[in-house]
Amino acid sequence: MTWTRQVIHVFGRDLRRTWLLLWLYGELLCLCMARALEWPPAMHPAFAPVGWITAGFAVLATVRVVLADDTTRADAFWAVQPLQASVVAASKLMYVLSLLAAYGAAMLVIRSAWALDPVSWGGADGLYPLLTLVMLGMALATLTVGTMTRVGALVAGTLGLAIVIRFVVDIPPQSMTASVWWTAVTVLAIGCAAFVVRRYRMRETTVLTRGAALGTGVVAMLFPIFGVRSMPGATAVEYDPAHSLDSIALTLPLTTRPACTGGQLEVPIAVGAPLGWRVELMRPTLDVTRHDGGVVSLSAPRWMQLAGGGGPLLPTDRDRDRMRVLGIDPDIPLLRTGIVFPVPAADTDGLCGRIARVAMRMWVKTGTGVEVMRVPLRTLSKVAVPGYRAQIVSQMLLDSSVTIRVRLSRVTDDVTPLPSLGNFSFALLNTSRGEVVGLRDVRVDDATWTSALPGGLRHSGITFDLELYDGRSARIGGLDSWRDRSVLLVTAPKEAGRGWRSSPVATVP
Amino acid sequence: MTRVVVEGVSYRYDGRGDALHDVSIEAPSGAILGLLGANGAGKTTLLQCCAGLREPMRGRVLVDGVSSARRALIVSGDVGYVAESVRLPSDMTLAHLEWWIAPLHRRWDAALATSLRERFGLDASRKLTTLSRGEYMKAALLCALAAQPRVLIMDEPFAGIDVVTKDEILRGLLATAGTSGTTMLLASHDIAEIESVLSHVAIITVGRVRVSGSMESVRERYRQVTMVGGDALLDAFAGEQRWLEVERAGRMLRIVADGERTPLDAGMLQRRFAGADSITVEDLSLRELFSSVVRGTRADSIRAEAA
Repeated sequence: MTWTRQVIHVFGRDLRRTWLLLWLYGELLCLCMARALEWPPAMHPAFAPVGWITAGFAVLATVRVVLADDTTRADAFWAVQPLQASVVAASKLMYVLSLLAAYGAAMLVIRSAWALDPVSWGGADGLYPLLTLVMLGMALATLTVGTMTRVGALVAGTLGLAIVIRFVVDIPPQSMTASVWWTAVTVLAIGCAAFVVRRYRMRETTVLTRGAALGTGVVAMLFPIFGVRSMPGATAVEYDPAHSLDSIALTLPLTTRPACTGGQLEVPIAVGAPLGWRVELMRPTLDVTRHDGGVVSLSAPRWMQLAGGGGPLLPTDRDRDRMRVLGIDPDIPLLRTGIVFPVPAADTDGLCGRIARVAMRMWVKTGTGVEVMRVPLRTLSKVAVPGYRAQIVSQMLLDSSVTIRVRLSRVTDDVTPLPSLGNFSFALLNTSRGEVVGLRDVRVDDATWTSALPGGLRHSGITFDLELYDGRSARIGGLDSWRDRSVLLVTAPKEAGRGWRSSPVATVP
Repeated sequence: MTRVVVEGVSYRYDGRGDALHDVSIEAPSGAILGLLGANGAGKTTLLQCCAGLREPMRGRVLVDGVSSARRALIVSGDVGYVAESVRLPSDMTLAHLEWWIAPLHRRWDAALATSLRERFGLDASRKLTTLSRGEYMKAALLCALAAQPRVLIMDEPFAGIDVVTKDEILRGLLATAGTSGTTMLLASHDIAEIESVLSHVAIITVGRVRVSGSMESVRERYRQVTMVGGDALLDAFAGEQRWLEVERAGRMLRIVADGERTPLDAGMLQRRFAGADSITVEDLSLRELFSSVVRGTRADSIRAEAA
């Protein structure tokens, strides 16, 4: 039997020995996926810790398999069989990696449903620290036979590395809580690894085995750290459209925004994984007002759910009460998280402008999954007729479309009356290339329009709805490349079939 | 046919004294070597060194000239190891265990495995945890024998096993050794049971080999002399040299002598000690020899400490 076949043989035996645990693990993974994808939409809160339980099962199965072939005894059963130590070590690592791969596959399934939302799956993942613990324990066990001094050195080194990476290299100040949490996890992992080493020493290993195990352990240890580094936005202090939404959630100084004063709303902001793990970074109190200079209103917190990467982040009862006070329906279907920040006229390129862009991310659910579209609100006001300002008040995400409620307000008295909504140019315009794409079927209830605008928009303004029907992901994805340009909204009516129509309809001077 | 040579093996555990000190023994091809020793004498350590499960501090173990270090001979399938302390995967059935280990062994004989299972009366569908102690050891031996190693090392395979089961296992071992020519190293406290199957023996005390050789040579070499007579005569005989063991009860003196140092012949002794009422020279059983060696070693160490 070749070395490879021996590894597979031992691996197969381990799978067979732990089939029940693996079956439960698979079931839990499916449950996690269902919960993350909201099938059904409202799962009982009792399922909230399912992500942790899943991770726990993975660790349990790993420990079960690893300890099944005892390495503390010179005369362990595997040691008296024609098996090299490297075969046993490799099969154990293969087992651990297969669990990780299953978890990763589940994550990918979820992620594929969130096109254009490249939430990394390393940094916000509760399973990795735990599995890292086991793998690191194995790696350390191969190296530290009876040498607690060496363990101490490894602990100090690893901890130092974690501290350097978490606190010095790429830690925005707002994610201090996450830093502390990660450090705690690291310390816990090292402590548990040291415990494992004392109980479980691997002997009779070759240099190759030790090197491979050490390498795997180090990689496993660094994975979450790299994951955090690669998590878009975790390192971002300034807004960058290339970053995903969670970066903004991490870095926005929400409580210091001057334009927002008045009522208050407490909003939890978190990072997490779609399988339910979540760490709340902050719970700022947002000042809420509805004056023209800058309106903050709370919509459904859907974006935050995705920005946080994960588990349902439902408004608290107090949030819901405040939402009601603000006239916002707290039970907007499928839109559980979201904060919509309009653009103050005087701060188009400032802080509030950045916030607005964050707020205007929308998730359009299509038949193939959930799509992401960014619509920079800043450009909405540019596209609008001078003298008016458009504000997106709320979003309603339905199965096949998203309805964006836009409030059009008069900024100055010296404006041209707008007899109808048709005066607006709802276009997608790339200013850098002078290209306009798509403008279709803005649906406004004429009766509403007429009654609300007896004199055009000379008065206070109008609120109307834009319906954005589902398009193909590629097209919606195409929108992403237009971000930070002069852009408005684009719709694709169902009857138009798949794809966007590309006809220049409006341009902006 | 395989020859096992242990050359000057020493081993030391951390924080403890020498477990083995300059141990040298030899088992010719096809031999069944019994390794005898009191608890803590170093038998298990020596067998683990032989199997390559432990690396000697000094010395080496050769099987047909090939070193067993780093489990090399276990990995190659040339050495099998069965020990009371080796725990079989408890969550497996015997059939499952055979399924797992059979592909790992180059010379696995499925027919022999079936034959041994029937001979030992084992149910392959039973989980190993449900087996009795005897059945457990039988299962372990089955796995080791069916793999057909050239050298089979067994450490206390009969501990806690009833006489009938021991007999079955011994017969199984003999049958296998007879057909395959496997060289066996066997450590056991059941000296009386294994004496009849051993071709060679080594007695080890406090990490040192005191007696080793073929059974015939050991029986030839070590004799016990019983003398009945007057005090002066007994004192003279007892003090003549350092015997392996000396016991005195009234007018009777019993000594165990190493014939290599002092050739013992009843006629010669009767001529030298003509005043003795009786002098008899007898062979020792392995059990008696072992006891004498162990007691003699203890007496030596006590004398050494007193000095």
